[in-house]
Amino acid sequence: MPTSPSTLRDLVIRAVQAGGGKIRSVCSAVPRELVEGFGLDVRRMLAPGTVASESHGESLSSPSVCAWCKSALGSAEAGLLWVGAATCDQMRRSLELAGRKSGSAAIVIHAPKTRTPEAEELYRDELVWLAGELERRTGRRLEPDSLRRSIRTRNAIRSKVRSLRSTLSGSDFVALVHLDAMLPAAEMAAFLESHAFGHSSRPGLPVMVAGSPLAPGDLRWLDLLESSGFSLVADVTCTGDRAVDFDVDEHGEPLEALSHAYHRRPPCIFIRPNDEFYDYANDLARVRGARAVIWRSVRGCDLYSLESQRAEARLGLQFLALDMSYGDVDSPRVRTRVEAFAESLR
Amino acid sequence: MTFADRPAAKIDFESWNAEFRNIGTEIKEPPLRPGENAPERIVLGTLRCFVELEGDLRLKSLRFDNSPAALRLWSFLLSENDRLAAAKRAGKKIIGTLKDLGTVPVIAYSSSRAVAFYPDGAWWIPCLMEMSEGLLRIADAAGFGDEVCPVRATLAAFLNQAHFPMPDLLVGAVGACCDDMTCLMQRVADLGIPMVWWELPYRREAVTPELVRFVAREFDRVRRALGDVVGEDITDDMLAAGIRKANRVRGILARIRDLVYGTSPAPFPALETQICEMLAIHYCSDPEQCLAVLTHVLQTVERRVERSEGVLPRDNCRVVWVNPVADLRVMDLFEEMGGALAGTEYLFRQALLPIPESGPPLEALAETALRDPMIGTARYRARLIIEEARRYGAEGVIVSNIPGASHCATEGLVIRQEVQRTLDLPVLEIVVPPMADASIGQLATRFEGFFEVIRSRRSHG
Repeated sequence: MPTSPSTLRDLVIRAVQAGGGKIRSVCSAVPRELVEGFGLDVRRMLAPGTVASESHGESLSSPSVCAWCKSALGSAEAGLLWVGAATCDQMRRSLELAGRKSGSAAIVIHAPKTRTPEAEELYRDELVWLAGELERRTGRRLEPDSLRRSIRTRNAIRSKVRSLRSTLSGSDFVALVHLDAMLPAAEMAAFLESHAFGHSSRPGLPVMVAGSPLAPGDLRWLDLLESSGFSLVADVTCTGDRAVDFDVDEHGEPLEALSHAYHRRPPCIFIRPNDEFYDYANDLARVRGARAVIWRSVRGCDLYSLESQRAEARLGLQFLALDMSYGDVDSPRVRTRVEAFAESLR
Repeated sequence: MTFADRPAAKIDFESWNAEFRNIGTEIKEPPLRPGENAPERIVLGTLRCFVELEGDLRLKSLRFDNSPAALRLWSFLLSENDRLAAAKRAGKKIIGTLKDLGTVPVIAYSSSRAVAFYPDGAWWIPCLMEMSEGLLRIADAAGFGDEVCPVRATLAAFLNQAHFPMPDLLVGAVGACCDDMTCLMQRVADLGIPMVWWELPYRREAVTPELVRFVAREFDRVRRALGDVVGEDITDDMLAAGIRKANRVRGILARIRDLVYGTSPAPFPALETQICEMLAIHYCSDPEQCLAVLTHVLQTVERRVERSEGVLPRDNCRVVWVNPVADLRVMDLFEEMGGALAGTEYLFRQALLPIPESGPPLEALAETALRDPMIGTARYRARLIIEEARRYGAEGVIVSNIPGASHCATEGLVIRQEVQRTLDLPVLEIVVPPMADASIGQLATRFEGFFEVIRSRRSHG
C-alpha cells in the first residue's frame, strides 16, 4: 500500500510529537553516524516551527534571537542533551542556553567555515574530541565496526531518500527528510523498506527553495507554495536536497571517512567564501530546471537574510525573498506575495 | 598654575575650543608636534577643526577631559583617516583587518611597509557625523537594514569609499564569529580587494595546545599573504619585535586601566578611557604615536591619582561596563547620572593581554587570539566580567547591548545570571543605538534607577 502524502505528514507530526530518545544532534554539521556508532539513539533536533514554541523560546531568550532558535529553545527538545556545532553565532549561543535550561551542558564542536585542508583536519580533530566526550559522558566505547555499520545504514537511507526525490512533491520530500531526522536509523531504514511511496510530484512552475532550515511547521508554507502553482523541484535548505546529497566512504578508516564526507558535503551558506554553496545551488537549479528561486529566511536569521541580495545576483533567476516568523507561514501577507510572484512568472 | 596643571574636570566642546588658545607653545611643541605619519595636520588639533573639516558633529554634544593628554588622544583618534591616506601616498601597503580585533595588526606592523587598521571602526561614523554622512542609508539599500548591528556602516564605507583608503589586502577572521560581521565580510569580499580568510575556531573552556597549533598555522598563511603584499618576508625575528612593541602599548594601557578603574574619584573619564582601550587593537594606524599618546595619558592619570584629583564625584556608583557603545554620548550620560567605570569588557579583551615573548611568535599570537571573549561561551565572558568586578570593587554591571548584534541576543541573560549568582551584584541591561538622542530620556531614568539601587545597597551595608 503506497504511503499517501497525508500519511507521510501524519507520520512526521506523530514523530515530532512523540519525541523519543534523549539526545539531539543540532545542525547537520554533526554526523549522527558517529553518535549512533556508540549505540546511542540520536535524533536530529528540529525546531517545531510553531507560534507557541517561538513565543515560549522568546521568553527564555530575547526577541532578537532567530525564529528557529527560539522555537527550538521553546520546545520540549531543549530539555534533552544537545550535541551541536558552532555554526552560526545564534545557534552556538542557543546551545549554551539549552544546556543551562536542561542542566546538561550541550556538547559543542567547531564547524569550520573555511575549506582549506587545515580546516578539514581541524574538523576531524573535533570529531575525535566529540567521540572522546561521548565516551566520557556515556561510559560507552566507539567500536570501528559499529561506526562502519552506522555509516552503511545512513548511506542506505540517504540513497533511498534521494531515489524518491523525483516521485515526491517538494513538500513531501521535506516531510520525508523530517521523518528521517526524527527516527533512529534502524526505524527509518525499516520504514523505507516496508513502504511503497505513491507519486506525489506536482506540475507547476519549477522553483528552487533556499534559505533557513524548514521546520515541521513550515510544511504548511510549502503547501502554500504548491497550491499557488509552484513545483518545488530543488531545495537547498539543510532540510532539503543538501540533507541527503552525499555519501560516506564505507571502505576507509571510518572516522576519517566521516569527517571527509561531512566537511566536503554540499555546504551551508556559512562557509567563507561561500562560492561552493552557490556552485551547488546553481548546478541543482540547472539540472532540475528551476526557473525561479524562493529565498526564505526565518526572522532574525542573518546568514540568509543578509545574503539575499547577493543570492539574487549569484543565482541569476527570478527571485522572491521572504523574511518570516512562524506566525507567517500561511499568513495573508505571505500568501499575497507568493501568489503575486507566481503571476509574474506565468 | 600652568595649563597642564589645571584641576581635572570635564568640560564641554565650546570650553575646550576657548581654552585651546591658552595652551602654551611649550605644550604644543614636543611632545605634541606632528609625527612623520601625519604631515598634513598637527596632531593636537582643536576639536572645532574636526567638526568643521571632517563633519564630526557629535563632538559638539560631548563633554571632554580638560587635559592636553586627552585632547591629544582625541586628535589622534579623529585624524586616523588622514594618517591612512598619507601612508598610502607614501607607498605603504594598507591592510584592512576584519573581526579578530588585536592580533593580525601585530603581524602586519612587524613589517615597516604595512599599515593595518580595522575598517570595522566605521561603526562609529554615523554617530560621530550625526548621520550626516548617509552610511546607514547606503547599508539599508545594500540589504543591511536596522535589524543588523551598527557595524553595517562598515559595508557602506567600503561602498562609498569616502572614509578610508581602500586596503591593498583584507584579512578576515571567520569561524566562531558574530553573524553580522560574517555576512558583512562576505559582501566586502565581492569588491575585488584581495582577501585572505582565516579560521578562528570555537573555544570550549580552555585554550588547548591543539587549537594554538591550528591558529598558529592559520597565522602563518596570513603572514605569507602579508609578506607577498608588502614585498618582504615577515620573519620570526620581525614578529618578535612586533610583539614587544604591542606589549609596550598593552603594558601602558594596563597601568591606565588599573589607575582609572581602581581609583575613586575617577581620574579620567569613561569615554576617553574607552578610546585608550580601543587604541590597543591596531594602534590607530601608528604604533609610535600611539605609544606616545598613551604615555601622555598615563602621566596625566598618575599625576591626578597622586593628588587625589578626579573628574567625577567620589561617591559615583562603580560599575563594570560591558560592550562598547555605538553612541559615545551615552558614556557621558552614564557619568552625569552618577556612574563611574570600575572595569570594562569591550569585546576585545585579547587585545589587552600581554603576548608571551618566549617561544615561537606565531604560537604566542595564536594563544592570545584564542583568549577572545567572543569565540567561546557567554559563561566564559561572564567570568571575565566577574573578575573585573572583583579586581576593581564594582558595585554593579551594565550590559550595553548593541542593537542587532547576534551575540547580544542571548549573552546578556547569561551574564546577568552569572554575575548575580556569583557576586550578588545588580545588573542593568540597556540598548544603545548609533544615535541615542531619542533614547536619552529613558536611558537617564534607567541609569538613575540603577544607581538608586546601588546607593540603597550601600546604605544597607
